Amino acid sequence: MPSVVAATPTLEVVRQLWPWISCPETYLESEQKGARVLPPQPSMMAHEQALGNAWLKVDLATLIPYQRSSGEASASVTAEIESAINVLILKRISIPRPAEVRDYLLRYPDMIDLLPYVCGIASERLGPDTQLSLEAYRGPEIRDEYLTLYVRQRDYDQSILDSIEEVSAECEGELAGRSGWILITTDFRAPSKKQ
Amino acid sequence: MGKKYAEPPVIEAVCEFKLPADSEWDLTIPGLIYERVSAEFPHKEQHLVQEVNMKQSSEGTQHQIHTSERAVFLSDDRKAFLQMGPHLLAVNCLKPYPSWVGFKPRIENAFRALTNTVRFETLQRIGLRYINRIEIPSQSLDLDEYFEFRPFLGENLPQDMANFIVGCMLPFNERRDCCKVQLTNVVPEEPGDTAFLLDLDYFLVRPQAIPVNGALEWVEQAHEQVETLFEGCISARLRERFEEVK
Repeated sequence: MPSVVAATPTLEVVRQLWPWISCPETYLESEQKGARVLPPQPSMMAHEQALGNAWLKVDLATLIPYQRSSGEASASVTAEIESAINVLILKRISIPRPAEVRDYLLRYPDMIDLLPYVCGIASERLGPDTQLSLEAYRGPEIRDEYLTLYVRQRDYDQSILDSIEEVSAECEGELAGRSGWILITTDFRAPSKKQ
Repeated sequence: MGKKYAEPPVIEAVCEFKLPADSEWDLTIPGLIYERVSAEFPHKEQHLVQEVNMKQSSEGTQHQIHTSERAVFLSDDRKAFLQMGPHLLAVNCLKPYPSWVGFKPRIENAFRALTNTVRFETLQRIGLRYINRIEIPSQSLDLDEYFEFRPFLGENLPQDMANFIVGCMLPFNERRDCCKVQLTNVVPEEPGDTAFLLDLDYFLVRPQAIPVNGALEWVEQAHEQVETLFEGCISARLRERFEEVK
């Protein structure tokens, strides 16, 4: 008979995997057995005290170690790049050549966290009828490379350049001190059909 | 000894050492370590990093985001680098992955540079992480044919998936260690392809359970486990794509 693993961790699983977030009694037991465990975190102790040690009432969803672990993952650059690209896709940013953008971000990793921010502002300010296309430019000169966010609309009006200028000005402060750059501009082309 | 592939899907391997917060650390340490590793990692850079900390409180889970600076020492081809932050040393290796035989000496050299510079007794955390991007030239495919680790949808559920993420935390060594295994679909390099990220992050769960002189042995064992898990996650069809070298 195969064992069944519940999708939501049971209390016992939480208790065994993460002794320091379980009840004080369990923590003491572990200590007596000679196991070295992290002392209860102050925030967790406060949480237990606030609940009058009625820890069985704790919403397990807030204690799922899987979610907690995401903040402690080993320092990978590629995983951050993939997360950022996924966020851009969710914001409906078109990336016609993702390999080039990935390559750029590997060389300028301090642009990774900024990218969703800049694209988010552009998307919000320029409206849903605007298509944004993210591309990496690499010129013949050494280190002449930057990201370009092309703004494309079906019908261009007079104010488009002013709007782009405003978005650029809003992002400029965040770009200062970064190793890379992102240019927001338009080539006055029609939006591509495929997002 | 694990399998070797001519076209391995590894896009990054990371080995990370975190020292206890109360251990000796100051701003001069990255510079002192650079002196010891500069032959292999001659290029210096400084990167801003956003760190997200999750904090449990009586009001629920709080996300704290703060920006910190990391010293980064890169190899000539920029495919391997060390990251140094407060109480942190990470050794990263990008595609093409030089195999464990090539990656392990870099970890050992970097860790020795750390132990020769900073005095500490135990480690808060050790992690060995492999990020694999797997690209398959098809827009519609049956995950069962490629992965032994995949989402399962019961027969009463719609079988079409637009996007997915599936993950598990698997305990090892009487729960001293854990491996977070995660599979998700990502943006493919080529239009018409389907791409996946298989992320294996093996780490020390129990802080300070490993003494300094046991850290490299821990890494070796972690690598064996990750290799086994990787093989367990993929099917024979993917092995064919990666072109096993016999």
